[in-house]
Amino acid sequence: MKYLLIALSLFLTGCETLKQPVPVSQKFPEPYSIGVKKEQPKCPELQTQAGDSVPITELLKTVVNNYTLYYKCSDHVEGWNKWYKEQKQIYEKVGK
Amino acid sequence: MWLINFLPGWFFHLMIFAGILGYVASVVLTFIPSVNLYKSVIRVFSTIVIVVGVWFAGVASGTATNEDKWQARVKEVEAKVIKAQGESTELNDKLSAEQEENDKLRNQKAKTVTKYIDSWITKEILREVEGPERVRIEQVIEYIERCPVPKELLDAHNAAAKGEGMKK
Repeated sequence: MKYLLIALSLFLTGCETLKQPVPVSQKFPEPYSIGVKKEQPKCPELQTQAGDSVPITELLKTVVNNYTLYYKCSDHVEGWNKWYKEQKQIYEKVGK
Repeated sequence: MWLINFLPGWFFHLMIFAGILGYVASVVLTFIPSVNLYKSVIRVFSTIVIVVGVWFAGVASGTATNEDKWQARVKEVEAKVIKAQGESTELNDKLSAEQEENDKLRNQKAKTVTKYIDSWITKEILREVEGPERVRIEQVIEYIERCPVPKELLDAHNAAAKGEGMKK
């Protein structure tokens, strides 16, 4: 009985080898680039208003510029989130 | 199991066949004196040959099956990886184009607002308006020209833009 159990466990080990992960390496996906830039842009610093006393229109233009910078950065963050989510789906499909 | 790797698979089947043949001979060919004399030895030997042959044939076919399955799995995963790499590049191209388009749109929208502000500076806005509304716009333009934003308020704006608090 003892030997039978040992023999059975050896056979079971044989079956287990088929469930091991396949040694195929998968490259980490490259991040997407915007235009010719290869590295991801950082969110730029917001612009300040120079001068001691400026017309309100000048200040307003700076504010508009800053809002644009914010929305562009927000788009990039959204893009990254989308990139991560979809690349993860692609990556997980390989393991299934 | 070097023996399995060393010997071809058909050898074990031949062993089984030879074992069966030997056993049958020990039963059927008893009329031959030499066979009859050693029939017990031949039976034991044939049985051992059959058992060993069956054992190795089973192990050899099992090993081959496992190896085949493993190789098939490796090929399947490799194909999936290649497909995934293609999909990944495609996704990057799509996102890259999307982001570039978004940047362009944001710049265009900002330009329209800046152009509108400029129309107040250049008084171009007056060209399109007549009547009492024109008077109100003239008052706004006068306010823009006469009332610059003081340094204290600019400092508040700059502190917020830099992400700093106000220094008292």
